[in-house]
Formats: sequence, C-alpha cells, structure tokens
Amino acid sequence: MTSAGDTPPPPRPSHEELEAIAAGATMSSHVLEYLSRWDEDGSVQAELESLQKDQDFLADFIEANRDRVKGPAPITEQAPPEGYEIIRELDRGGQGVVYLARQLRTKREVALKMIIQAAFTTERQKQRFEREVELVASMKHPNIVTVFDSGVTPDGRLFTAMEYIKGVPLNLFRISDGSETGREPDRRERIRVFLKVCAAVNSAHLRAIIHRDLKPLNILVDDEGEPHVLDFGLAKVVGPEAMTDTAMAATAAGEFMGTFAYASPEQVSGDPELIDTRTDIYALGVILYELLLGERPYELGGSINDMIKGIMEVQPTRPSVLEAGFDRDLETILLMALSKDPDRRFQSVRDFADDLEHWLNGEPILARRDDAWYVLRKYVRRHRLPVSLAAGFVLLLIAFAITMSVLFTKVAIANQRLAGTLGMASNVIASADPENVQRGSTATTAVDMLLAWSEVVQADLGDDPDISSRIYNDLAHSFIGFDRYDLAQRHLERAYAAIPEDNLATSQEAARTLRNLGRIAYKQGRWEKASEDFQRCLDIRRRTLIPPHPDIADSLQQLGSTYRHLGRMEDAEQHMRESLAMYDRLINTAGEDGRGPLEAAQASVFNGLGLLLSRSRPDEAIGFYTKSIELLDNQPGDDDWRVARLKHNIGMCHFRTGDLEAASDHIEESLRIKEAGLRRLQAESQTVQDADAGNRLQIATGKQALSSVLVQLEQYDRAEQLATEALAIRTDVLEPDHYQLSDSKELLARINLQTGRAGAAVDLLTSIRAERTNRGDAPNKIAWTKSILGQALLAAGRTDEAEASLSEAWSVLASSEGPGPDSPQGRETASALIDLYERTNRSDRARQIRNEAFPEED
Amino acid sequence: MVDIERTTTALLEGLFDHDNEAAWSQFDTRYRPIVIAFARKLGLSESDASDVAQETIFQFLQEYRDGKYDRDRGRLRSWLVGIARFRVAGVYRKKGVKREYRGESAMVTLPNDDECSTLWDQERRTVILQLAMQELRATTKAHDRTIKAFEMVAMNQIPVATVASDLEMTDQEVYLAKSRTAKRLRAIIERLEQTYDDEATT
Repeated sequence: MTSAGDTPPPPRPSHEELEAIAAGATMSSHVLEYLSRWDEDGSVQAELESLQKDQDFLADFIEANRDRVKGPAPITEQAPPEGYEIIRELDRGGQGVVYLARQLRTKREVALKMIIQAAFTTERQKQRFEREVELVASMKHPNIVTVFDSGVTPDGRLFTAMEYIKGVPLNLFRISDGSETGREPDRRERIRVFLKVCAAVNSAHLRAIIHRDLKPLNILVDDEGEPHVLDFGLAKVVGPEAMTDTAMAATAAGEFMGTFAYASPEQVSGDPELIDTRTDIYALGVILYELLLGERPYELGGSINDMIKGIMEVQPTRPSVLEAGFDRDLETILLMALSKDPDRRFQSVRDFADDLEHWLNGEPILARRDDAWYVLRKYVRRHRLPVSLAAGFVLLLIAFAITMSVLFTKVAIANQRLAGTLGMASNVIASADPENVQRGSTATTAVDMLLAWSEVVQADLGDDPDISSRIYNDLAHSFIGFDRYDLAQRHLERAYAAIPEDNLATSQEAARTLRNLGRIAYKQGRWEKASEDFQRCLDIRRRTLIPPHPDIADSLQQLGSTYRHLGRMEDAEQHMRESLAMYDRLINTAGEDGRGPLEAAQASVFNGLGLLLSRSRPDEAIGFYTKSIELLDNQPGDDDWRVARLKHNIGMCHFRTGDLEAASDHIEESLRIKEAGLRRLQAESQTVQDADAGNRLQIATGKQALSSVLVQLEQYDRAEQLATEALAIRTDVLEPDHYQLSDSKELLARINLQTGRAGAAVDLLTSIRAERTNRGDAPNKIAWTKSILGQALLAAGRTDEAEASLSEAWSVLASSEGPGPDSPQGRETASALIDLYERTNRSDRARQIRNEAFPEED
Repeated sequence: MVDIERTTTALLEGLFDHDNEAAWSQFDTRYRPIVIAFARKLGLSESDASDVAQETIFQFLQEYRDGKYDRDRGRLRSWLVGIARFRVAGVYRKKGVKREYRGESAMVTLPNDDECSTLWDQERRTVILQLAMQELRATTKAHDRTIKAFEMVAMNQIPVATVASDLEMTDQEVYLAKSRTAKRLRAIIERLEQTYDDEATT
C-alpha cells in the first residue's frame, strides 16, 4: 500500500457520485482509490453504506407505492375539495370522515363527508358512496339531511356536502325551557319527535330506499326539537333496477353492516334478500323502545354468534315488566314493531306512525296481539287485492294436502292433515274476502283457479267419496265467498251426490252441504229455502252430535238469523238464545287455545240478537251489541269494520230510545274507525277504486246516521256537512237512481227546512218524490217524503199545496199499514197538519187530527 | 387517518367490547388491505379479493369473540393467513366447477402455509410502506419543499439538478432532503412495524 504522502489524494467523492454508486453505477477508479487509501475516518464509506441502505429501502418503498404515486392523497386536513374550507373534523366512521367545512361560495357551514382512505378505496366502496350521494340527493324531506353538493376532487376523492345539523342524538335530546340544559322530554313529546322520524323514513321508503342502519346516533335532534335522519350510506335500492344490476344490488351478499343493537333478525341472517322496508320498522321499534323505557328491548352479549342468536330468538322484555303500569296499547304497538317475523310487524312505517297517533289521540289502536292465524289472515287481508295470490297460496296448500291424501289414501293421518289444511284454506280465503267489498277482476282470477282445481279433483278423486265431498264442499264455500252462487250450488250438488245414500241421514259432510246450500239461499234472500236447509242440517247434527257442540250451536244461529228475516221473531230469539247458551258452555270448558274461535262465533250470535231486538227492545239490543264488541276485542286480527258496524248499531239503538248524545257518540266513533280503516286501505292497496267502494259506502251510512242524530240535536251546520259528504260518496259509488241517493238528499232537504231555506227544500223534495214514485219505493217512504215536502211548502207559504201533500202523507202514515199515528213520522206529520189548520182557522179539522194523533191529550 | 398509535394488542382487547365500534373499524382498516393484497397475490380479482377480505375479517372477529383465538398458539398472522387462505381456496373451489365445465383443470394449487406466511409478510410490508407514505404526507405541511424534493427525486426519478432548479434549492439541499425524508420514513415504518408486530406475543 502506498503511503499517503506519495501521490496527492484524489478529491473526496461528491455526494452525487456516491448517490450514483448507491443506485448501482460502477464505482470509478478514483472513488475506489479514495475509499481504499484516503478514507481514514471511514466517513465516506459510512455515507455510501447509508446511501445504499436508503436506496434499497427506497426501492422497496417506491415499489410498494408505485400504484399510489400518482394516486389520490390520503385525506387530511390539507386538501378539501375545491370551493371548501375545512373547519374541523366532526366524525370518523367505517366509511368516511365527516368534516365541518365552509362552502366558500355561499359562506355556509356544511358537513363534508369523504372516503376515509382513498388509497384503499375499492370499487365497491366507491360505488356505495356514489349510490349514497345519488339517493340522498334525490330525497327532499325536512327531516332528512339535505345534500347540497357532491363530486370528485381533482385527485380523485369523492365527497358530499350536506346540511350541517347542530344537534344531539335522538336518545339524548332535551326540551328547551329557558334553562341552560333544558328538560327531559316526557313520553308524548318523545313520541311526537319520533313520529317525525317515521315521516322521514316513510318518505324514503316511498322511494324504495331502505336506511338499514337506523339508530339514535344517526338521528340528530336540533335545538328546535326537529329530528334529522342522517347517513343513508347503507341504503339499498329495492326494485327492479337493483334486481337486475346484481353488482349494485345491496352491499355484497352475506355482508352485515348494521349496528347490532338495532339490527333485525333478517338483517343478521346474512341473506340480503330478506331485507326490506320492514327492517327499518324493526330498528325504529328498538329506537322507540329505548326512547320510552331507557333500555333496549333485550340484552345482547357474548360472541357474535350469541348476539345473532339473541337478535333472532330473544323476545323483547315486555315494557310492563320493566315499568309497572306501562300503557298496554303502547306496549302492543312496540311489541308489534319488534316482532321477529317481518310479516307480523307493521307493514309500513306509516301504519306504525298512524297507530302511535291513535295512541296519542286516545283512539283505539290497530295493532293487535298475535296468534297463530294472525300472520296469514292479516297478510291476505292487508293485501286485499291480490286475492288471487291468496287463492294461489291456498291452492298450493290444498294441492299438497291432496297429494298426501292420494299417496296415503287409506291412512287416517293423511285425512286429518287434509281436513286441517282445508280448514285453514277456508279461513284464509274467507279473510281475503271481507264483507261489503265489491269484487273485481282479481276475484275472477281466484274463481278461475278454484275451477281449475275443481277439475283436478274430479279427474283424480272421482271415486273417493269421503275426500271428494269434503273438497267439493270446501270449493263451494270459497265460491260462496266470491258470490259465485251458481258454481257453489253445482259443487254442493256434487258433494251431496258423492255421499253414499245410506249415510245421508248421519253424514257430517251431508250436514255441511246442507249448511252451505242454506247459506246460498240466505245470501240470495230466499228465506224459506234457507230455513229448510238449515233445519235439515240442524236435524242431522242434533241426531249425530252430543251437545254442547259448536256445529249445533252454529246451526241454531243460522236458523235463528233466517227466522228473523222471516219475521218469526219468537222462533228467532229462541234459537239464538239456545245457541248462545251452548257457546257459553263450550267456552267454559274450552282450553285457552280453543276459546278464540268459539268466542268469535258467539260474537256473531250476540250481534244477531242485537239486530233482532234493536227495534222492539233497543235497550236489550245495546247490551247484546256491547257483548259482541267485548268478544271481538279479545280476538286477534283486524275486526275494525265489524266493531265499527256494531258501534253504529248501538248508536242507532240509542237514537231510538231518544238518547241523542249517546247516539251521536257511538256513531261518531264508528265513523272514526271506518275512516281510519279506509285510510289504511287506501295507503296500501294500489287499486283502491274497486276495493274500497263498499267501505266508503259504510262510511256514508255512518255520516248519514250521524247527521240525522245531529238534526235532532239541532246542530245543523255539522249535520249539513255530514249529509253533503254522505251524498257525495253515494253519488260517486252508486248508480244514479239508487234509493240511498234519495235518502241523502231528503236529509239535506230536512236540514234546509230547519234552517229556514224552505224554497230550496221544496225543490229538492219535489224531485225526490218523483224519484221515489218512479222507482216504486215503499209507500211509507213516499209518504214520509210527502210529509216533509208538505212541511216545506207550509213554511214557504204555499198552504194549499202543503195541505194536499200532508194529507196524503197522513193517510198512509196513520193507516194500519204504516208506522202508525204515534210513530215519530206520524206525530211530526200530524203536528204540521194541525199547525196548517190552525193557521187557516180550521180548528175543527185541527182538533180532529189531534185526536187521531195525540188521543191522550184530550 | 388510521390510528396507528394503538398497538394491535390494545386493539384486540378493544374487540371484546361489543360497543367499541372504533376498535372494530380500526382492526378492519389495519388488516383489510393486507388481506386484499394477499388474495390478489394468490390470483384473485379485485372484487373477489375484497369479498375474501370481508369474509376473513368477519370470520376472525367472530372466532375471536368466541374465544377461539388463542394467543399462545401463534401469531395473529398465522390465524389470519389460515382464514384468508381457506377463503381464497373457497373462491377457487366455486370457480373450479366452472373451470371443469369448460374442460380446464379444476385444480388450483395454492402455496403451502409457509409460503403463504411469507407472502403475507411481504404484503404486510407493502401495506406498511403505503401507510408510511400516507402518514408522511399527512404529517407534513403542504409547502414543505423537503417532501416535494423527496417525491420528485425518489418517487418520480426526476434528476436532482432539475428538481433543484424547479424548487430553487441547491443540489446539496435536494440530496439532503431525500436522505432526511428517507430517515423519517424509516422511523415511521419502524413504529408501524412495531404496532403490527405487537400482534406476536408468543
């Protein structure tokens, strides 16, 4: 080695040279020389080694970041989208960061939401974000946060600028009362705020947007007490679009995103197909529960599996267990929203909200406690129109049962199963077929399906009398439900023919056939024929069954009702009372499970007795109607319309006994129930026109009756309004020459008369008289119209015409065919006549009428 | 920004607490990218890989909370690798049916456990390097020329002289910037490695 003194040292290698060497360049001779001979303190060597280490590290580093070098920068406070200035971070969630920012153009403060790590943004995250923006922006609702702006920053990050809500989570909100902290809201205040949340969610649902992650943290209540629903980020589009575009359909299958405490069973099941708007209803149920009781409906803990199991299986703690005396109706509403089975929940947020409103207003709620039949009947009834679907479903069940029977014809079990299925099928069809609903094309479809089924039965089971007669009977029952008496009759004949002659006197199927034949006759108003069939049915049943038996009780009731129509009031009452007593005995001995149907049947008997006595003994009738309502109240399912009719009838009885206040109370309540029912129907059915004509007519009847009562109470304004509404509905729904139109107009004419508009009343009544005469209405009705016309003419000063009209009316009304001189109509007509004669100084005529009408006064 | 400060051990503690959404989401943020990269390396498409990541994280959380994850039995890594490998194999199994149908071989041989672990470590390293870059950017003032110079020289391979003139720096300053930044990055990475390494408490 040469010494340092021999030759001058080469220059110290420059940093650039060393960098190049570290980067892989060949070492030049002078660098080599310097390193080997002159780098006495090793500093150049160290520098080079350090640079080489850097180089290796940086090579790795660059490789790792290669794709990201040009990619978007991470989100930090440094890079807001153009036009925004970040003020501070508000929140950070799984999906994004939310900043409080200022929109420079408008100077307003906004909540700016960005994807948390753009570098890691997957296509799915991106799509989800875009979807969210699109959805939320499409919704305009005061209780849903408004999206002002959205877009992509120059470096490719997505953002949305939303309304900035200064608020607190729903479970923490307080009512401002001037104090610094405000006060705790009471239960009703909480519900009112909650109702606004419902309105917001409902409006999203109407756009087929499901929130899927509703929780108090996602609902901010501002200082004014207005709630704002945030973060539709998990929203999923339901509908055809989403169905076809599977990539966008929901978040990926099996993925669970909600927060456990508010997640519904179907949400944790892992099958995204099961999630629909009712998922939000469940979450709302948990939220409301927590809001009202301060606790969640059930404890969740342990492993994820435990939690999932908990959500699927643990029933919510009844509020009344947590808090003694908790309102029972409110409890029912909560438990219904929290039902594990979506079919048993409220079917729309609106239903849920409506029931809460009912509760707030002290009105009867619509939610009912559950039972085994509830789901099926409720489903079919709520979706009233797809009767064909109900029938289709029922047919599937029947088909299954038949297959079983055919496979195991001789096996008793198969027969039992068949009987059970058929019973259920009838029940479902019956519920698809509520009274007084005009039936449209869907019923036709159902009838077609039943007919098709009937042919299958004929082909396959022609030689099995037991089963075929049972099925024919069941089909007939369904046809009766659809008012197809011709088809029902035909099937009943087949059912009867299938029964061996020796068995006719003892066969239960024969009895059932006779009962169905009786029903047809009854529905057609052929009372004599109906009473014969029912009597024969009753005979078989009395002969073969041991009382007390529900079938005997049923026959007694059917026969009793028929006797009522035949005017055989004593026979009717006797049969019905026997039926009533038999049901009493049955109910007393029945178990918990069997009691429901018996009580439902007994409710009909009470109703029949009420109808029977409503004119002769209205006080007793009121008692029977009330019993009927009590029994229906214990029944699951929607019996609103029946209850409404019963209340109406009670009101009419009060009317007859002269208790006008009670009359108007009951009729008014009946009307409220009917109107709520109609609103519900209209909200749910797509083709309201067909479905609700019957319901609307019932409402018209209620309005008409209430109006009559109010006329007696001299509340003419409201009476006129109601009568006008009744007339409008009837004009809309009925044929133009229907008698009920005349009835409505007549009531209006009476109100005109009472309020000093005699001229208008005369015009109206003149045309009503013509309508009634042309149509051939009952003489009493025509006479009554003439009587009112006469009163109007008298008030208008047209005395001669008035006398003629009133005299004609009086001769009919006071006759033995009419209601009699001491009936309300008779008295009113008489009073008018007396008035007329006294005004025209014919006191002898006046006295004569007075003697006829009010003999006790002399 | 990811909460890098929190060690994985601490994070795992947090996962036991059901209401601790933050722990959950941090764990997810920390490991999802690794699983995705891992699955991509094993040949899956972006969307399959991201599905596998979702399933893996979810399954891990589930097993973890069920108490199946036993610290003494091995590193978090091998647990996650095991799940992820199984999930990737599942994707291939499903596709295998289609492949067979097309006449291709249904067999796809996945690397063995050791190879998978190596692969995982590589991907973890990659993710850490990416996180480091993000943290570097996040913790630097926007107008810091040091980083700018570093990015231009090291990342974008722009000649020093050009960078120097662009940024009105001397060549020496540019070099200094590069090495300083590299040093900073190393420190960040070391800390990140520790955060992740804390997962190994054998």
